[in-house]
Amino acid sequence: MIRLLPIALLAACNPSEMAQSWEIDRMRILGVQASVLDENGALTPRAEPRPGDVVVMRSLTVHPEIETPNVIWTGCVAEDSDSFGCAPTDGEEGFLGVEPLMPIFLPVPETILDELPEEDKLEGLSYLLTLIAVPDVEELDEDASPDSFSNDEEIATKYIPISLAETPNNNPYIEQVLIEKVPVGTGTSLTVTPGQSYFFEPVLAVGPEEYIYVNSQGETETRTEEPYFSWYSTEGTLDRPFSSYEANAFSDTPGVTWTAPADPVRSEARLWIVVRDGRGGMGWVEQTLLFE
Amino acid sequence: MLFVYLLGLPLLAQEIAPQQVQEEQAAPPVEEPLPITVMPELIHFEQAPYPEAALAAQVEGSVGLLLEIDETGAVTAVEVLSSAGYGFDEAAAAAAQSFQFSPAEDPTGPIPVAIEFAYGFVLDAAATEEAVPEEEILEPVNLDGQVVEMVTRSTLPEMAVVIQGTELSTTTDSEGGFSFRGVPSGTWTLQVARPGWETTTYTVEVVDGEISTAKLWIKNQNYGQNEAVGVYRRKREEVTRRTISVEEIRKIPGTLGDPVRVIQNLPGAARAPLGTGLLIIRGSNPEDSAVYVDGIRIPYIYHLGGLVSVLNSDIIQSVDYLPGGYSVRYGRSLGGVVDVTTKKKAPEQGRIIWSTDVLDTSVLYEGRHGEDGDHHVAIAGRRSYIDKLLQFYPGELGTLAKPRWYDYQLRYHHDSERPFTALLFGFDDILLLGEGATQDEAAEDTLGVHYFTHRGLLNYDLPLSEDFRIRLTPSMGVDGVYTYVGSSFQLEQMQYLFEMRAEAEWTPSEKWTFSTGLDFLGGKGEFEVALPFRPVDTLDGDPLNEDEAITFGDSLWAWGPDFYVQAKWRPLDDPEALLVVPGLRSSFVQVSDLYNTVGWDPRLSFRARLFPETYLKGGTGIYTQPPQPFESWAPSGTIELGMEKSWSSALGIEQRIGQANSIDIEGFYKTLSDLIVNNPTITDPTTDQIYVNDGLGRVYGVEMMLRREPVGNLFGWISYTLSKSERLDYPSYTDEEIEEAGTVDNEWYPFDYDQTHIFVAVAGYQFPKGFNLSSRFSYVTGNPYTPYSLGIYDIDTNNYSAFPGGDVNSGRLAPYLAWDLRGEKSFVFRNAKLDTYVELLNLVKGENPEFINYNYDYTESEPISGLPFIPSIGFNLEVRL
Repeated sequence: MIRLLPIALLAACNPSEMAQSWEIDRMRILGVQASVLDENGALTPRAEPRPGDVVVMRSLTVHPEIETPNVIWTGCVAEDSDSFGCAPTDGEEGFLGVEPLMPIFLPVPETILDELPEEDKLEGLSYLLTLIAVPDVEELDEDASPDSFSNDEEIATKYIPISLAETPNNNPYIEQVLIEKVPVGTGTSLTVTPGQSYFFEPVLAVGPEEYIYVNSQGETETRTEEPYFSWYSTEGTLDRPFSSYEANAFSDTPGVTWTAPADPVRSEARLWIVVRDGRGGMGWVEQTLLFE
Repeated sequence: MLFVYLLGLPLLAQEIAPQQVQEEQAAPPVEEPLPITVMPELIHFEQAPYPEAALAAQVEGSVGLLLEIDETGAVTAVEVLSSAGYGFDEAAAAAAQSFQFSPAEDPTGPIPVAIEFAYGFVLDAAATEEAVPEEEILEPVNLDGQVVEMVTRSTLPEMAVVIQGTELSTTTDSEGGFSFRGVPSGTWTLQVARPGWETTTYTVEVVDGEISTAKLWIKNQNYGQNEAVGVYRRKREEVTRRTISVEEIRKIPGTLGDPVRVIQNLPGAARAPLGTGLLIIRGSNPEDSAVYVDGIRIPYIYHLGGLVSVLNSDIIQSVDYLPGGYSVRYGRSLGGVVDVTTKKKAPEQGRIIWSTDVLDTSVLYEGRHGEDGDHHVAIAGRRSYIDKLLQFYPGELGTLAKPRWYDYQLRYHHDSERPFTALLFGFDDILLLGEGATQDEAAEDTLGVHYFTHRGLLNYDLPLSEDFRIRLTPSMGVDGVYTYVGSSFQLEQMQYLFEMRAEAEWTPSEKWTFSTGLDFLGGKGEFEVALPFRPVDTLDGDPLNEDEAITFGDSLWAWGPDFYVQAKWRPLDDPEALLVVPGLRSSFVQVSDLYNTVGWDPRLSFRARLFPETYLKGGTGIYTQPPQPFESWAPSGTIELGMEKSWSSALGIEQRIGQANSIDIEGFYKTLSDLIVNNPTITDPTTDQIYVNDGLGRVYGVEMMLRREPVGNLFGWISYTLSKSERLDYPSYTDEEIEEAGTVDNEWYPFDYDQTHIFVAVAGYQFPKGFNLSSRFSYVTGNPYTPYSLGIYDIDTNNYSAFPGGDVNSGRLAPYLAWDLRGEKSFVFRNAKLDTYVELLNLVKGENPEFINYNYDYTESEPISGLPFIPSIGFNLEVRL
């Protein structure tokens, strides 16, 4: 297999005209955020529930033309899944709901960790979510399968860690975005000049969390999260699809340069910044960019 | 008296099959082709009368002859290859029957050969000879000298020397000497002329009372082709063995003069993906084919990129390509065999060869030392310089490919009754990508590979009696492979090997020859893997726990002796009429204290002459192959694996069309069983076996080769293979079990390198003045691939997993089509020769996709094409010392 390395260089050396991952030219699921509700039913930043918690979930599902795509949610304990998500035997029990027609809740059973040895409960287990995004769930064929899907549908999976971990695992939160080093409010609309480049730099509200990790030898380690960003846009071009964690030796900045199209097709562009903490926590912001 | 001169142009030396018992007894004890170490030299020339018709018409001519010469140097057969008409053919053929040569020899002694001669008839010389007055011969010699070949500095017999402006002429003697009597004083021009040689003139001063001496250098227009490389041994034991001369190979476009690369132009050899240099023979996986150098196995034959072989071209004696049906001498492989034999002896005159092209430079020294010249030494080295040139690039290169390779060979040969050879060779290749990488050291962001091989071998040839010989070849070596994929994956593999090959052959009668051998292989392998996650968690499907860097490794030792016995039975009085070769090979391997496995390989082949130039050949046999080293890794401490097996059969026919042309058609069928595949029911690699013997395979097809051997100015061949290779991975499992295991569908599917049509046409022509032009046209069916239609998005890792849009390998890349051209010009000097060449690769090309590249979510794809049009230049300078 090592002999195949040189031909892999061919792909790197050939400029491709295929769609880039940051281009929102079809249905895309960009993120899923799970938030634990407190006893009053209010959202908390916690991304990692405990047995008995109730989790509310939302997705960042986008389409260049469709404002509110439908997302079908199913879920199961990860060990009951196969390579492409929950097995059909999960049936109705695995169905969680359709977004945005209904809120997506996951009541975590009190007994979900009971079968684990005590020492494994700190690490816990994972609950696998499978999401299917479609333009309109009413028009979905009952016999649809992944190989019959089109570019207007997307399948995605995500794991929700469930454990008795003592250390916090909160969703990262993008507090503000700097554009050319100038802070702007997240979610606001900005006016941009066609053909002009802008440097976007997200800023997290709090730094990476430290947490306790139990390794394969059963030893505990103190680790630090390594959050990183990915960017998406409906118009213009981005100079990279995602960042490295800033503590990595090869990371420069968690920012991205977005260049407005010289001759925009639409009157505005939408730009999303998604952050992942590597432990299941996610967050995002959206900027609307109006062309002059 | 008419004067006729003759030129010996040994363009081709071709061994003739043994005709008598003594020849058979004198045959080498092993089947590999031995080099012709002494070329036949003409020691008696028979002068042909000038044909009356030609004389009447005042025409000259040159007749191309093919002479078969026996072990005594006598001419046993003459065939006219190129006619000159006017009665020249008959005259030349009749005279050549009376020629006497010194015998050709290989390391075993005198052998029968065939050589090509050009027999020339010249009117002027005849008239000159006829006009020499009888009384002048009695005058004293006052001009003498010697005619010497440029570059080789060999003295040349039977060369015509004429003093222009006079009626004086003569021919050189067996030592290349000539002399004239009674040359008037003054300045004279000597002319040496001969078909196939460049006419040369020299000015000499003749003074009364003195003897003038001149050394006349003459250039052979076909220099290089009379080396002991034009060897075509028809090995009767192999159903299919194809040997191409080195000089022929060097003229093929796209080989960059590398003899090993010619394999990719022969029937049964699939086109390797660009840059891989993989050997894919009759549809088999690359690891199923074996490469030997002087009988010992090496892991790779090509440097990184697949453009250059790991041995210096000028140290290679022959390259044998055995796509299947080979004898029990070769084992431990299911696919084909490439057997590279290095030269043992150095030329009489020492030489240095310097070769440079756009990729690398190599230098070779060969020479004989000692009082008797029986100590033959060769030293060769090569290094690429792309990495060095990039240092001078003025711009910012950023992430940068840094390819570098080198190889070396040291050879010592003691030429005696019991010849002894020592060979030390190796190569080291590295390709690093990444800003943090230096040339020789990988960094954390490095994407790259580094592999190397070093081998040392000894070869003893022990003739114990006239009919019994033993050859011993012990060797030791080390192989290493380091693979880096940034900080996410690093693999380091090492293996230390000891091999011993011992072979003996006994010929008790003219009808029977028995041979036996031991092929021992032992060694220790080590590997270490660095991963950012625990594989066990991957199988749990829980990426959130896959956050633990882990390093693991192991070491295994393995050893096993293979024994083989083989008989050659010639039941009929005519030894060429029928040859039957039964053989049996046993294969054994012990892997640490984990497991051992045994294979038994009975094989049978035959070759029968149906008509004088028509042979029917065939064979059938079992071939076994032990598990690859990485397949024997058993974290659980227990493993049960056995030999992979194939039953291979072939039937073909060879037809010679004259002495220069031949056609070879062969059908083959191979079934494979117990192929090692991933264990489909594995749940935990620390407790479950990772691989199992379960796969099946079948490979069948037809190969055809129409060939024009390099007799005269034209050479080439047309090679075509029609084949199909497919496999079934889990015949022992039900579809339900396979589905439950979540693996691929349990159906027959094409091998990764299944290529239905492989067509290659090669042609070359040698023009006067050292110009050569050659061309290659290739058309090959594209490789199969598994199409993907979409990806499943993993939100946690921000990656898409491919979802198959069809069965495994159900897609097919577009065909490969290319036309290459090579032009070469040779310059010959007194003690040197310079070959310069220009290669125009992909002068005409198709889309030539190497693989399918998908976008981030597998919804779009595009073919990635191979090399564009590439002009390449190079030179090869040979200096005789």
